[in-house]
Amino acid sequence: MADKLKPEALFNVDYSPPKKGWMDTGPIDFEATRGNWNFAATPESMEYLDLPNVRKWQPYEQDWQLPDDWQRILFEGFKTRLKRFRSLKVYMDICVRCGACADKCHFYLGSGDPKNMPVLRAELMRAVYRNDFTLFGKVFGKMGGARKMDIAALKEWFYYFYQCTECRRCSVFCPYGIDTAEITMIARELMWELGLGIDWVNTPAANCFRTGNHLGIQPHGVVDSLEFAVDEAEEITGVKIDWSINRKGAEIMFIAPSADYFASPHYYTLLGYLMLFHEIGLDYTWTTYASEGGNFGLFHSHEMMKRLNSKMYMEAERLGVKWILGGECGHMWRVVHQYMGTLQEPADFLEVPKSPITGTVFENAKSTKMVHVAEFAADLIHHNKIKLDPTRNDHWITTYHDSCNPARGMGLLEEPREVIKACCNNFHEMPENTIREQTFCCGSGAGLGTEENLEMRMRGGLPRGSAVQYVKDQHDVNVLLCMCAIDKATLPAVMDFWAPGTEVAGVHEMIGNALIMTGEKHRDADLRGEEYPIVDSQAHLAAPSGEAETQEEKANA
Amino acid sequence: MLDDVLRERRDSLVASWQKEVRDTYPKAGRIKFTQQSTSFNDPIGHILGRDLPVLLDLVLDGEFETPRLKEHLDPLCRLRSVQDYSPSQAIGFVYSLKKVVRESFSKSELSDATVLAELLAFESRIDKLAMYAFDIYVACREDLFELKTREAGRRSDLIIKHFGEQGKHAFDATADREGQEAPKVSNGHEGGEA
Repeated sequence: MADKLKPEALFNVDYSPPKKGWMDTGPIDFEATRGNWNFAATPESMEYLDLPNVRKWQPYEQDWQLPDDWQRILFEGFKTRLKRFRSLKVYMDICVRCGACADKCHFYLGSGDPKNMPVLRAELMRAVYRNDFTLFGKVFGKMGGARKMDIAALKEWFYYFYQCTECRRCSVFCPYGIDTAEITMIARELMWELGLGIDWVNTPAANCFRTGNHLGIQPHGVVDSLEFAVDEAEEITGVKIDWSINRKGAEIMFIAPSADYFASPHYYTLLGYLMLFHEIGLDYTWTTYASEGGNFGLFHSHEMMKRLNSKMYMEAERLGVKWILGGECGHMWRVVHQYMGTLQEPADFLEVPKSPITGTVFENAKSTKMVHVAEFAADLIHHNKIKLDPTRNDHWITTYHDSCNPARGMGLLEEPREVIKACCNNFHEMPENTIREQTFCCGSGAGLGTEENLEMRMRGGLPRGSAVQYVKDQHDVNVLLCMCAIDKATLPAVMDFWAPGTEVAGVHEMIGNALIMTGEKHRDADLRGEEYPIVDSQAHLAAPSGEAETQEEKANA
Repeated sequence: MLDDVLRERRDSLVASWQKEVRDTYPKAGRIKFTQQSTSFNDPIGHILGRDLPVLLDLVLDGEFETPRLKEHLDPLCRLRSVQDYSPSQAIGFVYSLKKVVRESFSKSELSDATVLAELLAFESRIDKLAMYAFDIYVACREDLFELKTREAGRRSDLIIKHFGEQGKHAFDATADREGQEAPKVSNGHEGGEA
């Protein structure tokens, strides 16, 4: 949808510069900007993770109780990271401020705040880099785009680097391929050295470290919740569901985001997993030690990312499984796909994943030994290994939101669509520049999905909301499918505000609805308890839908 | 008739009104060549381009009892209800139409008592539009608070359904171990999704 440049556009350019330079806009007034920022990390969670400068504080307080030598700490931290990460050095030097990224950020589009342009957000850091690490910056100072790190600058860092969801839409459009999300990551990491960070990132990370998941559910709680889900799946289908937890010697270990255990609509996706794995007779186990797929360490620091990623593989080694299957999660996949290779030792104790049902070898996961459940399910469907009745989803008119991390972080674009099309008769894509690698963020990722910054989230959710409203107007879409637990937690609010009347659901919820299970009872309602709209809901039991039957015949043949 | 004069000047009034509202946003520091604002590359510009002309027409026609009013007034009020504005700033865009209309007349034109009387009548219609904008703005703010409640519900409904009191105690026990208050754990719960 490229815009055509009309000749008269040249005469409509406003050449008047802003009244003040971006460095001189004055300090952030945190009291007056409630709704835009998040509460600070609690002393308890900081202590738990051995973080420095533990104290009780909030951003709206004048005194942030920084260490006396905070400027030195930040300088040394920056210096160390410039040496450690060549990418950071390149990103600091290479940007030509072309502005291609500017109008790609959902926060900029929704707020109009120039410092939400990825280029200017990154400039907050580059200016300090020029001042501290380049001769040009040292000689020319402010004229050379350099800025001394002072309290006002630090407060801007905190304000704006926690207004970035690390979705990486901007980097898709950067001609140099600068990953602006990594600049945000380093900025947050540096701020943690001063004890500056938000609670929504730190408490989940601390919980995960303590109990194995972000919610802080203890092992018996995980078992309980799965037992309840199994009971419910059995009640819905009439089929006794096979499952196990912490079982040594299973072929596959399955890890889902912990929100799937309790939160709505995540829970229906969990039912979908249980039903699918039972139906194909998968030899797999859940685990309490690695009861979390998500990795809030990604929003924290490299060190935290590594600590949280380790436990999944340590558990896989302890249980002696061959490979790992991962659920509908966001940042787990970004970490596994993009960072694990250099963070960790190779997972040589695992085998290259091979589907026990279809025999497909997932060569793409040769290094990580971890396969996405949508990839796995798409492979099952491709080989006609499951029977599906898409009419059971006829009450849903679906569209698909490419969750940022699976889409841009690992290129998982086609597989979920294959699954959706096999499970649903009604599927409509949103406009081209809002999906796939150009997908718009939910506006609440990277630890920003809180109540206290709801206004900011709604601004960030505007482009996604508009795109959904677009297909709603065209096709009466009533459900937004997605494949990330943060999406499922936060998009319902975005939909309520920008595209009212749209539900949010996981891809595997659609599988759970459509899946025809061996020995199942009459099913007249979907996983949410909504009655199926079909007149003769028993029809599929006597004779599965034509397509499904053909698939089965082919499989048998 | 003043209305006829304003109708003749409609396009320039719309352009000036759009500029007034645009100017309530920070200078973007970028040169914008694109004329075709879409809701995906320039949502603010798109809304201004689509809705302000219709709103001016409705004010000119004095037509407020139509679903079109809400349809075209809601998007901008909704957007400004979550942007960095005080309530008065958020709704102020309606009143900037008064400024635009007044400035479109010369001093001598305004010294004509008939024109002035008609202008005051016209401005009363703008006031009426502002009242409608206020209603929508407040409804949007109420929406936001309801969203928070609903979001909290989505996190806990299933826990209550499944575990009842037992589940509540399990969570309280977790909280005690951390020496935190019970709601703190639900905090971890909320943040731990993904």
